[in-house]
Amino acid sequence: MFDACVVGSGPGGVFAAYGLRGRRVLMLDAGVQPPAQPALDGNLYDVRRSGPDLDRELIGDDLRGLEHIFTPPASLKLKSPGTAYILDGAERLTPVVSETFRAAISLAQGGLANAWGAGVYRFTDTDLRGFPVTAAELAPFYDEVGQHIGISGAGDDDLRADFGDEPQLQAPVRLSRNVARIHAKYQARRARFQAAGVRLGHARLAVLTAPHKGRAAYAYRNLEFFQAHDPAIYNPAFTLREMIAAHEITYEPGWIVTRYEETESGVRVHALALDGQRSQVFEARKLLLAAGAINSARIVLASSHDFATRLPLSDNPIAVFPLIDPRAIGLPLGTHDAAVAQLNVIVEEAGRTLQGSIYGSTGALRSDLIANFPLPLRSGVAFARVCAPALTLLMLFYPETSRDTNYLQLRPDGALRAAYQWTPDTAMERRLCGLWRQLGVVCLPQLIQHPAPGGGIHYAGTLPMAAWPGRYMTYPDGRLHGTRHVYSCDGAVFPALPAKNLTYTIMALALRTATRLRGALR
Amino acid sequence: MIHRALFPRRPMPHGVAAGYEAARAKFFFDDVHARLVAFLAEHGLDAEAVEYALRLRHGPNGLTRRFQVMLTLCEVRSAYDGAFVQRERAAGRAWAGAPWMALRAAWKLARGMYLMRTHRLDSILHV
Ligand SMILES: Cc1cc2nc3c(=O)[nH]c(=O)nc-3n(C[C@H](O)[C@H](O)[C@H](O)COP(=O)(O)OP(=O)(O)OC[C@H]3O[C@@H](n4cnc5c(N)ncnc54)[C@H](O)[C@@H]3O)c2cc1C
Repeated sequence: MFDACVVGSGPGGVFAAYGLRGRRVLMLDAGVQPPAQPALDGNLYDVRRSGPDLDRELIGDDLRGLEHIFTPPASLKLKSPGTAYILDGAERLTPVVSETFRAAISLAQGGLANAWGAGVYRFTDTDLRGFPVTAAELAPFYDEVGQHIGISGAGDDDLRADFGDEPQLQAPVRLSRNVARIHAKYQARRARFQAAGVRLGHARLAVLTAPHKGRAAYAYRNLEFFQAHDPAIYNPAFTLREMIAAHEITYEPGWIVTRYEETESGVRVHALALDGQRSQVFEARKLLLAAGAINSARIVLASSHDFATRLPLSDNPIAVFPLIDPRAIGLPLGTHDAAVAQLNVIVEEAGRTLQGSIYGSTGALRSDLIANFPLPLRSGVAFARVCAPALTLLMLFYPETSRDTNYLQLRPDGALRAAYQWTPDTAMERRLCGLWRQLGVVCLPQLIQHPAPGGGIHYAGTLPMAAWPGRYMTYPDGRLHGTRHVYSCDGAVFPALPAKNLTYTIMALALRTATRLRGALR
Repeated sequence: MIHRALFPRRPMPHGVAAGYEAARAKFFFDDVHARLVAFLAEHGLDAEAVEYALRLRHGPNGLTRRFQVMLTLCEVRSAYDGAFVQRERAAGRAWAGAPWMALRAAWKLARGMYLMRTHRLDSILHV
């Protein structure tokens, strides 16, 4: 019997396993592997200009890179031949049906973090309101995770108090021309912005700007939309491979965990092979669920044969503000700019805190955007060409709390039914547009986009933590109420969802849960 | 027809034509818009204008998706790099082109709506 069985190899699962090193750890994982990655050597724009044609690399022989035109994915990062595998099999094996919520579920080795933007922010005590854990308790776990994954950013700018101190921070990612101008304008009008509750600073990213633990620094190649596993961008699969190579865990990919049952001495974990042909039962003293907030909830409900309960579900709603710098219209595109976030922004508004990331406009194909412009398509091509150099995008996340309208429910056929409602605060967004204009950009409220619920891809809150949990809730140490051996190690445990991207905290909480268990499993 | 509407001065490369055909076979472009495309081609009508009028009225549709497929197939090819990526400084030209772009949009919308009405394209689409 294993000491512990971890389900899933995303950020939560990997840091659960990492914290359990030294014990006999089994990791059960769907574990879908990336296909051979497109052979793109160098910068996207340099390669494309000099030829050869990139239809095979960017669209694929099987035309995967066109599928999104017919069935839009939750993110453009999930649609190309080199990245679409991240969602492979999920619709068939772990479906979510909904009219109102578009779930992105990953069965890949490394999970959704194969495509993540790598924004990493420590939660403060304000963010942790409702959590039975304090920022001070989490600090050593953030430290350990941060040290392991490598983080870049600025430790001394206006976001320091919001994002916390990182003991080893690499230099921030280089700012593009437009973003540097925004940053400079902010610096010049800092007092005015701060009075309005807005703070801006360099992005905090799990993206290396200097080599770290054998991984190379970010090379500004603009391939994030087409290739997974850039060594500069942290991927849990990197840590997983290290642990496998060091014989620290037994990794069993190819299994969909369907349910568990507790025994006197531990847990029996039922799993189905990905091809649906075989099933197997694995035994361990402890079970750590890290299948993602949605799939972990499915496993828990299925283990109770419960088709009636509605579990809460949260995702950060998003507003995307296009910001256009008129002075850059018609200038050459910065083809070696960063495609990852360059700045972060914090907005304090009516007692809540919103958080956003500012991106340049390189990387994504123009064809994916042209039909969104209110122009005939040929004009749209010309418009995209001359305006892209002037465009930056602010992706602003709203905080979310658990609400009755937003839930998951298991159906007898194994599918989850999801429902979600959210309405943007358009008055506030209009006000923010006015503020962004003071950064020297044009911001039109009519152009703000609101991706459908689910598009935040920050899923959380299905098995929330509390000091005194009830059914389908978890104790502060991650243990699921009503069980003796089952723990939750992903976003499921969040009792509230602040606007700061959640994954760093998923990793820190998973490491904390596992570290405590490790002692108990002696 | 779709390639010509987007890039009127360029011959369609064989690879793009082949890609478009493969996409048609794989994604089963919907029948309704297939009838529309056939009608537009047969009568030599302005597909870009009709797409624009339809999109502004009803949102992206089957015709838009055909255009998006064509755009993507072109954008990934080096020969089209200049159409999609601004490599040189051309701010003056970009600004000077703005009124023309606005006029062209108005013209294409009027033309698309006119074509919809005179050729009763709505009846093909059942919208
Ligand atoms: C485009 C994009 C950008 C993002 N950007 C950011 C960002 O900048 N910052 C941030 O904090 N977050 C970001 N995220 C979100 C982040 O990726 C997720 O929060 C994070 O990956 C969740 O980790 P997890 O371990 O809980 O679950 P997942 O990453 O979903 O991993 C789940 C794991 O469980 C396995 N699994 C699932 N079901 C089963 C089952 N039944 N049996 C066995 N194995 C199973 C899967 O194979 C996978 O390994 C982004 C996500 C996307 C897609």
